[in-house]
Amino acid sequence: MTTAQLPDDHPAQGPGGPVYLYAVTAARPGEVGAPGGHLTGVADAPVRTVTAGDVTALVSSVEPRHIEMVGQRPQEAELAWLEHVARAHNAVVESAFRETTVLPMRIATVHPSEDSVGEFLRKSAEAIHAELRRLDGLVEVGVKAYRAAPAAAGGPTTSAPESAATETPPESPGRAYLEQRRARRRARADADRDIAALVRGVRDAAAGHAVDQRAHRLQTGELAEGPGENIANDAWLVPRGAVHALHAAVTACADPAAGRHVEVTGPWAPYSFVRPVTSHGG
Amino acid sequence: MEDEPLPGGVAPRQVALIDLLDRLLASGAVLTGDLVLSIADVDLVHIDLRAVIRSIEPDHPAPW
Repeated sequence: MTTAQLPDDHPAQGPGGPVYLYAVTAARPGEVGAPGGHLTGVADAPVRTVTAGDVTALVSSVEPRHIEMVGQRPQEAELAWLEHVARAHNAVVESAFRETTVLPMRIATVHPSEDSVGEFLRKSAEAIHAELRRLDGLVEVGVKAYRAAPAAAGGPTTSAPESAATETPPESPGRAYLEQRRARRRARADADRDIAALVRGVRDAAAGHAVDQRAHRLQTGELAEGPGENIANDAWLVPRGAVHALHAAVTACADPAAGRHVEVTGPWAPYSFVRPVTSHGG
Repeated sequence: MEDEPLPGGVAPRQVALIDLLDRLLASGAVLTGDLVLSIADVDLVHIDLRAVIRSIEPDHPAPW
């Protein structure tokens, strides 16, 4: 049986149209979502719950024009919209995650109607419960490692400035060129070793406190903000009680003066560890 | 369950968009589904926004 919990003050947000699906939980409808009815989601639509049996989904009405965004706007506007959707999505997931175990849905998961959500919940109830049990008591922590140029450029091998040849004219240009190449190669090998050691160290430190790990793609591009080159971007699945220990262990691997940085994010809902839930029986 | 912010002021900051997108676009799915760009006549719609953004400016890499 599907029941929709509609806030009284939003009668216009009927259950008929398409709905955006944020997360699924085994909590009772009153325990998640918007206790006061004030939680809003994508396009500031009020969030409500759809319950089927003992599974509850957090949803909000969404207009088709909000979804069909392909090529409709300049890229900057699309990115702004994407950011809005991403933050709204995460805010709703977080609100439930604070209270209970949740399965966060991938961004922009839209069902044509509340009935469709209820059907999905009914068909997938077994898989949803199995997944919720597996993730019970676990949170996701992000651990990123960066390598930057050491704060103080030390020995002669730490940098091989291109201008060296012009500052000090060598007696043999060919020999100087080879020397420079060797120095650069040594510096690169040192850097590679340093990177590998930091990544290994951080992962070893985290693994002792976590039950699972996913490596996300390294962060590059204009949205990437970090103290250097991102060399590890991992998600760890961690018992709630071990979050602080993991944080302490990985940050102990950092040595900013030597260009070794570690950043920790979260705790997150277990976005990176949720397995696909497929519906059965139809 | 209680909220458990990380020490050192890590958690209270606003979440970086790139960290969010790592999770929301690359993972965080509990539904199987492929890229669908219209909601008409489709039982279940799943939109890969990264693909959408990329398709707008094929000459430019996605900014994350």
